[in-house]
Formats: sequence, C-alpha cells, structure tokens
Amino acid sequence: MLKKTLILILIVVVAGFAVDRFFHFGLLHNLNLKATYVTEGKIATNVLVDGPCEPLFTIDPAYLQPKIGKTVYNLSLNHSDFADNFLHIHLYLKNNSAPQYLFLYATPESFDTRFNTFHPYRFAAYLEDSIVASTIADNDSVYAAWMKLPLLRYTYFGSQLTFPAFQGWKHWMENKETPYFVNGHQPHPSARSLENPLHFEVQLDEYGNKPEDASNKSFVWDKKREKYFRKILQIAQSKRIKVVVYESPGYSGILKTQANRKEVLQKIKNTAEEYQVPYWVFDSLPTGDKKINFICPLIMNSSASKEFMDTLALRINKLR
Amino acid sequence: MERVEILRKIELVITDFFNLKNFVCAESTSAADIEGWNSFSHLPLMSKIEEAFSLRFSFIEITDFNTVGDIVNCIQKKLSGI
Amino acid sequence: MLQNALYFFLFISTMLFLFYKTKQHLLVLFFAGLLFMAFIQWRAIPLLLLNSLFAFYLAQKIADSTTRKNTFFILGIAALLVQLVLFKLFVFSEQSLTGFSFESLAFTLGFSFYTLQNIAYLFDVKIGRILPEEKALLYVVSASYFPKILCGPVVTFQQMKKHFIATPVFKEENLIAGINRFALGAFKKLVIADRLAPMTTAVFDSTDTFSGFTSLFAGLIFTLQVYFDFSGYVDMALGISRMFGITLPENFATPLGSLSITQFWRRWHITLMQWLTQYVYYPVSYWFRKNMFLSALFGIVITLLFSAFWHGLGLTFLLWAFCHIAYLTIELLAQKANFKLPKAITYFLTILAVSFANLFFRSPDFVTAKKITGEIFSLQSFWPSDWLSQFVAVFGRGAELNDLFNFYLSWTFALVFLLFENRINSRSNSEKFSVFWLATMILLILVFGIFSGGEQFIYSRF
Repeated sequence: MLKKTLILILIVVVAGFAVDRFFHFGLLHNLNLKATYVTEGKIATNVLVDGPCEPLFTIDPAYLQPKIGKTVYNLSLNHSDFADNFLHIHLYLKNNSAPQYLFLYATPESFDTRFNTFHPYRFAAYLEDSIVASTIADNDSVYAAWMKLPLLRYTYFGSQLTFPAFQGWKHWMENKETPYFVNGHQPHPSARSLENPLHFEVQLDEYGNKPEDASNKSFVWDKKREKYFRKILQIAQSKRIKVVVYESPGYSGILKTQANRKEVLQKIKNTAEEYQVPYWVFDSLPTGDKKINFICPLIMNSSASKEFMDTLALRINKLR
Repeated sequence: MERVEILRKIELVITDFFNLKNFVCAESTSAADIEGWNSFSHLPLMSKIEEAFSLRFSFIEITDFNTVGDIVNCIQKKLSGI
Repeated sequence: MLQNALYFFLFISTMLFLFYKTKQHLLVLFFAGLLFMAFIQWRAIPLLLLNSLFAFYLAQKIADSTTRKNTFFILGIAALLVQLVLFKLFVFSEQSLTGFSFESLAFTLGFSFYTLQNIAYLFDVKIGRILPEEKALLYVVSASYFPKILCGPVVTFQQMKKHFIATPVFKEENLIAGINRFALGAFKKLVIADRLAPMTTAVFDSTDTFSGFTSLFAGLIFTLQVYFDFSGYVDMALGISRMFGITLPENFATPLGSLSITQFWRRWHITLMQWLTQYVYYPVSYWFRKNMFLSALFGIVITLLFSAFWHGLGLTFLLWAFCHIAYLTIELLAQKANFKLPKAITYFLTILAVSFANLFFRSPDFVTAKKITGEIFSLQSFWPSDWLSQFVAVFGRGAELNDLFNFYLSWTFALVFLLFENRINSRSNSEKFSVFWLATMILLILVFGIFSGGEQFIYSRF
C-alpha cells in the first residue's frame, strides 16, 4: 500500500505539474487576453484608453484615430475596477513604450463597490510579477492563498481559464499575431444592431428596484477604489504620460435621480486635481437626454458613441 | 402443517396475487425477487395470506418479514400454537 | 475551502487513529461529533444532545411503564413532531421574510435527520421491536455520528447499534474502500453538481422571462444537480464512515435510470422513503390492508405529503408532492389496466415528470413557480426562437465562446457519468487500492472542480 501511495502521489504531482504548464503556456500565448497581448510589447500607441465596459463598448479607436491623428488602443475590460485597470496599465507600461496620453474613464459608479469588480483570473499567468501578486493579495484574500499552489492557481478559476488556455495553444500553433479585437474595442454583445436599446429596462434595476427610493441611489465612496485610482495616476505620471480622467454622457433621466452624483463628481475632480489631472465631464451634451441613445444608463449605442467621439476628438485636438 | 405445505400454499397466493406464470417460491424468496412486490402491495398481499391460512399477523410480524421463510416460520408458530 | 479541506483531513486522520488505538471508541466518536459540529456551528450541539437524551430517557419510561406506555409514547412523538413543525415554520418564515440563508439555520444543523431517528426509536421501543438502550453514550453517539449528521442518510438506532457494540478492528480494505468512495463523492459534488449550480440559478433566481423549453430544461438541470449534490454528499458520508468500519445504508440506486416513477421512488433518497414506509405508511394502512388499491393510494398520498412537509412548509413543496401523487396514481391505474409502453418512452417520460415536479421543488417561492409553469404552458412561445441567445446563453451565462465551452463541458461530465454510472459506482466501492482510479478522480477534481462554490449542500437545509 505504501508503494502504491507513493506512485499515486508521484503521478498526481507530475500530471498536475504538466497541466499547470499547459495552462501557463496557453494563457501566455492567448492574444485575446489583454494582459497577454500587452505583454507582447507590440502595441506602441499614442493614446491609451482604460476603464470598464463603458469605454470598452463606446470608444472605437478605428473611428477616433483619424480624427485626432494619433494611434489609439483601448485597454478597457468589461466590469473592471481601478485595481483591474491599474494592473493592466502596469503590465502595459512594463512591456511597451509609454503612450503620450492616458484616458481614464471614471464616474461616481467607479468609486462604489456595487459596480464593477476586480478579476484576479485575468492575471493568473503573471503572478511572478510582484506588483501583480501584491495587488491580488490586496483585493482577493481567498485567491491569494490559492495562487501559491501550482495547478490550483489556474484551476481555481477553471471556468474562466480552461477555455482561454486551449485557445492560447491554438494561437501559438497558428502563429497568430493580432487578437480578435485588434485595437481593444469590443462592440456591445447585444449590439449587432446597436440602435436597439435591448436590455434597457432590466439594466435600470441595477440602480434599485424602486425609482422613488433615493437611498438606493446615493453613491458610497470606497477608499480602496480611491487608492487604486491614485495609483493609476501616479504610475502614469512617473512615466510622464499626460492623464485625462473623463466621464462619457449617461442617460440623464436616471442620473438626475441619483442623490449625491454631483458631490461625488466634484470629489473625483478634486482628487484628480491633486495630480494636476483634468476631469472632463460631458453631462451638458444633448446626447444624454434621449433614452433612445442608450443601451443602458451609462452605455451609449453606436451612433451616440460616434457623436460623443466627435466631441471628444475636438477637445483632444485642443490639448497641447 | 409441514413447512413445505405452507410454502406451496404461499406460492399459490403470490402467484395469484401478482398474476405470475411458472413461479417457484423458495424460503429465500424476498420482495426484491418479484416485480410488483413493493411497499404498496406488501400489506394487501399479507392480508391475502392471512385469509388463506385464516389467521392474523400482528403489525411487527408483517413489517419485519424479510423473506418468505420468515413468513413460513411465523405461520408455523401460529398454527402449532392452536 | 483550502483551509477547511486541510482541517478536515487532519480531523479525520486523528479521529481514525484514536478510534482504532484507544479502547474508548464510543467516546472518540462522541467527541468527534461534537468537534465536527462545533467547527460548523457550535450552537447546534445543545439541541442535538437535548433531543437525543429526551428520546433515550423516554424510551426507557415507555418500556418500564405498564399502565402509561401509551401516554409516554404519545408525549414523546408529539414533542418531537412539534419541534419538527416549529423548525419547519422557522425555516418557512425565514425564507419568506428575508430570503433563505444557511447561517440563520445553523443551530438546527442536522435537525431533521436525527429527529427522524429519534421518532423511529420511540416507535420501535413502543411496539416492542427493540428493547430500550441502557447506555446513554451509545444512544447519543448513534444520533450524533458525524458522517451522517449534515444530510443523512436517515438511519435507525438498531442499524447503528450493531456497529457500535463491537470493538473496532482496523482493516486496510475498509480504509481503501472508504477513500475510493469519498473520492467519487467529492468528484460528483465539486466537478458535476457545482458546475450545474449556476445554470439553475440563472433561471430560478431570475425575474427574466424564458421560453417554455428553457424553463423545463432548467428543471432537468436541477434534477441532475440535486442528484449529484446529494448523492455526492452521501458518497462522502459513506466513505468516511467506511474508514471507521461502519457501513451506512445506501441512499441512492441509480435513480436517474428509472423506468417509472414508482421505480424512481425506490431508488431515490431510499432511507427517507424506508423511514416513511415503516413509520408513517405501514402503521396507518395496516388497518385497511385488505383493499389493495385503497391501501396503495392512501400510502402514496400520506407518504408524499409527509415528505413534502419534511422538505418544507411552502406551497411549492406541496405542489411538488401533488405532482408525484398524480404520477403514482396514474401508474397505479395503468398497472391495473395492464397498460404498458416501450422502455425508451417510459424512461423519457419518467425523467420529464421528475424534472417537471422539481420545478416546484427548486422555485424559491410560489410566484416564481407560477411564472415558470406559465412559460411552459404558453404554447406559442414554448420553443426558443433563437437557440443561442435564448437557450445556450441562458445556461452558459453568456454567449461568448468561453461560456459555450463551459456549458458543453458541464453537460459532457454529467452525461458521460450517467452513461457509465454502474461501472463507476462499482469502482468506487472496490476494496482494492487502484492508482488509476484515485489518480483520475484527484486530477479531475483538481483540474475541473469548482472551488469557489461555497461548500453548501442542498440537503443540509432540510
């Protein structure tokens, strides 16, 4: 029995290690993962855009680039918070030359833990990087224990990482050079016809089921979010990148019911000013008044996005 | 009554009750061997056996029978007691 | 989870060592039970001890008394039943007031399961099937035996006692068989059940509307999920128990391969059904056993109503029971009329019927159940008009390639398992140390297991 137990342990360890390497290699070669694509060091852009799904869906570099005469890469990822953004920017700067500008999307929602979150699995292949490891430990104490174990550091997030690992091997075998979404922009999933505000009513529920209940709608400022917001500004300025924090138009019908939106916007502005960073807010644009322009309260459909990018381009061109 | 006689008589009751063909009952036969002999049919079947032998099983007796052999034992005891 | 797994391993190894090495195996099991419960929720301990000691002393009273046997018996059963009702009422109000939470119930951990054992014990002593136990420790250990405390199997005192009186002798094959069985349970729970769990949540805990087929399919997924979850737990319980040389009764016999609802109930949650048969159905229908049909019908109704009550007081459980009462009555009538269908059809109908009834079982409240059945019976929108977005994306929780991959992967695991279930089960019961079996199980769990699932078992709430 002892001998068989030893053989069993040996098989599990060897096979486990092999699968660990399988995941590692696959994830390191999956260009569709932004963390991986930026580490390839092939982006070299003038303007970097980062934030959660709002910029991901609305800022299309292919449309913006010719208007501002600069190359643009959209580093945003769905549902990501500032810690998530921070690590992507860190990996970007570690492997690419610093861009001229960083456009960071921030709204009162960005500072409230009810919205967006940190996704440790997006960095599972980069745990050797000490900043990655410490940021994960700071944001997800449970995974911090698992990430020390070979194999389990990947399979703990198996439903997020198994497929990308396989896909990475495929990319490697095909010698793939560019990801599926070349410049990082991704159209909204329900937006094969973006003009159609599909899930509008459902999405409104995120702001609380009862519209008259204002308590659901005041934002709670989270210190940790603020910490990573500041870290992003610091790391960018250490590389002499000009940072612009901005908010794209949201549907005013919802925004005006939010009790402390104005105060929080001011607080974001003040925080950014500590770093001499401007905060661009576009809530006076007429775009925000029409429900038809939106897929959900903060995400514009493609035609409204284009209008917004036109306005944005004008302002960028004034920057010197 | 001899054990074999009792067994044959039970066999007849079971054959009749479940509409079986060529059924041969042994002392080791249990509910698991006969399709349809489940908890729902158990009590009615016991009541048929009671009728056939003109006696009455107690609650524990009925619910503790595991095999036909158990039933034979019980019947034999009851009949010899008379 | 990581820490808990480590603690559990240490706990089991220590207890095994003490169990076999010291002469006091009952004391070891007693403290193992307390420790185990304390680790999960120490507040559950007093209720367990009080309840079991109550049954223990009352049983002696019942046996000793000549004149007031019935009084004591009725008193005991009534006290236990009242507690059970109060417990269910508490769960019910908790559920309807604040939504269900496991934390609020923690002090009643295992309550439904050991109460059933205590009721059975009083009953058996009363009718003279067994003599009352004289050692309080032995009785309490039989109730608090830790492998079965969370979610059964439901046992009787006599089933446990026969294992406890003998001095334990360590046998290597018990340890190996226990490990083999435990590995299977962990695989079923972590790899299959917890992968299916988000799919059922997507439909049952949502206010969105779905096509009828999608809703019905969610019932099928839940049927699979609850089977793998519960039977996985039982496999682990039986495995752990086997390491201590104690064989607990089986609770499932490949129920998802049943060809009729009658058969299904003989293979699903077997120990509860046996308990209901022995202590609810037989005592009542003993009196009109002459009439086959009436007796059977009555048995079906009373057993399922009690089972519904045992699962919870909600209307949803009652509707679940009514479904099964209807199914079984139809089968009874069909049997009487000698009406038979081909096997493939009865198999399909059985799984469909079970899944349909489970829609009520899983629905968090009556409103959801009504919404879901409404969708199923709205004939014009029964089939999804777009399979990817209205069917696959619902269960895959998204329509990206990764979601589709997970959807198909989870299904592959569940279906392949069911296809080879008999062979897998016999492997898990083997007393031989198979490097292949254990390596496969461990690696599958490590690679495909869900470790963030929250470590809850569906049946620990009942």
